[in-house]
Amino acid sequence: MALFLPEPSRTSSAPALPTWLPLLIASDRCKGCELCVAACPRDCLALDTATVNRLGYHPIELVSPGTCTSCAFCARVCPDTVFTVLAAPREARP
Amino acid sequence: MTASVSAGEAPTPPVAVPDRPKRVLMKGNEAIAEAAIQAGCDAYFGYPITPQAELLEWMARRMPEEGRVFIQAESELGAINMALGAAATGARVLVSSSSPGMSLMAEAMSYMAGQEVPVVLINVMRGGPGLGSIQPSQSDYFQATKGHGHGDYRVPVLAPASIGEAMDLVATSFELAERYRTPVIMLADGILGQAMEPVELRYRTPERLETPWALTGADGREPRVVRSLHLKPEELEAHNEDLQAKFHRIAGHEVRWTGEQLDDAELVIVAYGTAARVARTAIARARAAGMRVGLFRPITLWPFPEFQLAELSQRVRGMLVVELSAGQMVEDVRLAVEGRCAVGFDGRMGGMVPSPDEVVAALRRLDESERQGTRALKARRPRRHAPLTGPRPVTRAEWHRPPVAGGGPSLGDDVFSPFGDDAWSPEWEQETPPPGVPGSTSGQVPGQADTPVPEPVAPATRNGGRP
Amino acid sequence: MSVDATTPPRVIFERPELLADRSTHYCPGCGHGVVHRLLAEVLGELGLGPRTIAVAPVGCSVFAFDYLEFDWCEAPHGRAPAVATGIRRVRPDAFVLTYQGDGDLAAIGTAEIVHAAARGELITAIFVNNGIYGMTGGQMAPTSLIGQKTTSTPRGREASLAGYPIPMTEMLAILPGVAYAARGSIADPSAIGKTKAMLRRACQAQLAGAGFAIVEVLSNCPVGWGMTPVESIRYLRETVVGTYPLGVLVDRMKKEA
Repeated sequence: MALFLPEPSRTSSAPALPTWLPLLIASDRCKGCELCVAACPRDCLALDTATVNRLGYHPIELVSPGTCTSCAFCARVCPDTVFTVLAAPREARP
Repeated sequence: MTASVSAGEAPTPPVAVPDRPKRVLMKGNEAIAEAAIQAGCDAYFGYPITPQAELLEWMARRMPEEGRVFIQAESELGAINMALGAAATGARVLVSSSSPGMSLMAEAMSYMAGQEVPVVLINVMRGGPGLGSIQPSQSDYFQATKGHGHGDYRVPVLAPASIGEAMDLVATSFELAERYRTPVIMLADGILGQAMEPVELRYRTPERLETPWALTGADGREPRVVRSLHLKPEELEAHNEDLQAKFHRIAGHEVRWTGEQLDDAELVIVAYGTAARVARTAIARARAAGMRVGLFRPITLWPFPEFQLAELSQRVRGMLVVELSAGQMVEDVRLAVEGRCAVGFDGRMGGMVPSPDEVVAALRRLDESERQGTRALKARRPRRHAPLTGPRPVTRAEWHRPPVAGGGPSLGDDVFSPFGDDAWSPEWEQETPPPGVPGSTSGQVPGQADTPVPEPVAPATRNGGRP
Repeated sequence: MSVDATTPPRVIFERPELLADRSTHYCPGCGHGVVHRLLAEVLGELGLGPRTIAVAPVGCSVFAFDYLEFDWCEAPHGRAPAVATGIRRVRPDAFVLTYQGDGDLAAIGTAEIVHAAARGELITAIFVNNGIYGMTGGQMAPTSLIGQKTTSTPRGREASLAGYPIPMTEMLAILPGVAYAARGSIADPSAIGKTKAMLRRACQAQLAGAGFAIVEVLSNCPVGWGMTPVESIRYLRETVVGTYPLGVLVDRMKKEA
């Protein structure tokens, strides 16, 4: 699975989106229990009701990647280890 | 040894004394325990129960001396499950108990058979059912060979008849358990456990086999699971077929039995364990009285020496099965004999042991009934309750079997009278009912006065033609 | 170090190695998935995977051996602590744990767990308590709450008929052979973090040779409780904890330190 998703270039007025997604989701393992939705403090997650995975559930999807802070609450409460959580590379802070 | 010389005599040459293993007077339980230790037992788990507590106590003292594992568990249930776990890691494990404790271990027997875990269990049998008595008995034959846990499985069962043999069979039990990855039961009884005999301190340590299935920690290899759960029917069927193939292999290779004075025998006593020792004395007395009797002693109760008994049944007139029970092995003997000769039974229950003279008397009755062609052996001794005053009891044969024309062989029809000998009379074996029995039409089932009675077939038939 | 768009992100969280990469048979939202993962994390961090011999229960987690990658032995229902004792005694170098549900540990297996604890067996018991028998269809467990509706207490558990819930970990904690006894839950990320710390400490009790260790994890059963997974977590947090307080009940390692 690719770690990077190249984003199209933006105008300077829009905020710069990260070039990677904070969550990698194993959609075929998700059972649609929504514990992650309840746990997420930033409402980043929702079920993808347009999709049914091979287990027969609507899998979770990251609907708002920009607000995700990689807190990993979703991953900690998920019983099915659906999430891999990524965070920004460490950089020298000013 | 130096020659002794006295004046005027030639010196007597020294007499060479052959090297003999040391003989020590030992209690059966303790001798068996020491034999297990010498056979390389790594762990013993047990719970005190009479008549095998000395086995546990010997282990409590000796196992720590040898740096091995001993636990007195909270119950037999705990002990057998500890054994399951220890054996799943490839250790050589022993558990001992007596009849009520074996019942507690029944669940784990099924699991150990399904998970293919090698554990040796020693059952020092006592009177039952329930709490029973602490006296010796052989009433766990069914439990050991056909019962205990649920599911399709068999377990090798070994039955020593002396303390020395028990010591050797402990080593054999470990061998069988490990060679076939199965629990193994050694069936002793209270006499064997409690008696003291001089035994030769001759021990055997079976070699260790490779255990590629054992749980040792998945260090540098794929994880292993020791399991009996296979939810898919195809998988469980395949597993059961593997198990059955194993049981067939055991049955083909591991039958053990011994015979004495069988070459010219007309009658044979079939007995195991302590009953065989009583039988041996009975045979000596019967031979002295001119009867040609031999002893057939199964050593493996499973696999049962059925083929050997079938062959023997073709050349003897009758077999007397002697057990310290109501008659359990006798059923397997009858199955093996398949009606080729008479099979009778003599036994005591509740911890009583038949005397050799009682066995000789039973031999005589078998002999006589076989000569008469009746093949009947009534219950051995009168029971202590009131005689029956109602309709006469139904014989087992009548209840189950149609009449056999011509008096041909029938399969071991002893008169089964739950109401006691006092209520039974030999005349009832004949065609006409004895006078004074109410409902004088013969063949009626008690309580069914309206049952029509068929015509008798022939006077010489075993049941008088009654259904 | 300069960071630009080509610098790879840090992995904050990923599946632990000892947890198999397969979907489980557990119901959506079932706490077993979380506890399995915590166990895999702790054992992986302590490097215990190659030494572990675990004993599986009978219950929903009977298939734990399909999800956690170390040696497993099945046990009859409730007997896991006795099986673990046997393993432990003949293999002093192994790391031995039991994974049991409330029926396994608090009903049919009460004798085995009490005596393993009383002997101070060097094993770690993980007790997943969701107050119900999930595998068999949702019957009452010894740890079900008063008033809880189950398929065998359809009118709600009444103390006069079905007794009171059993606080197993409190009962075991008074035994001198118990080095560590704690109760956590999976109700929220913070509780999950605390439970992971309890599991680690319980493993350390065995490694230090201090004695028997047990961690009770209050978990949920959405299907058995008749709730959605999210409702069940709320019920766990708001109601179950009232009967089963969270925290470390005894830590005899600390007393000795």
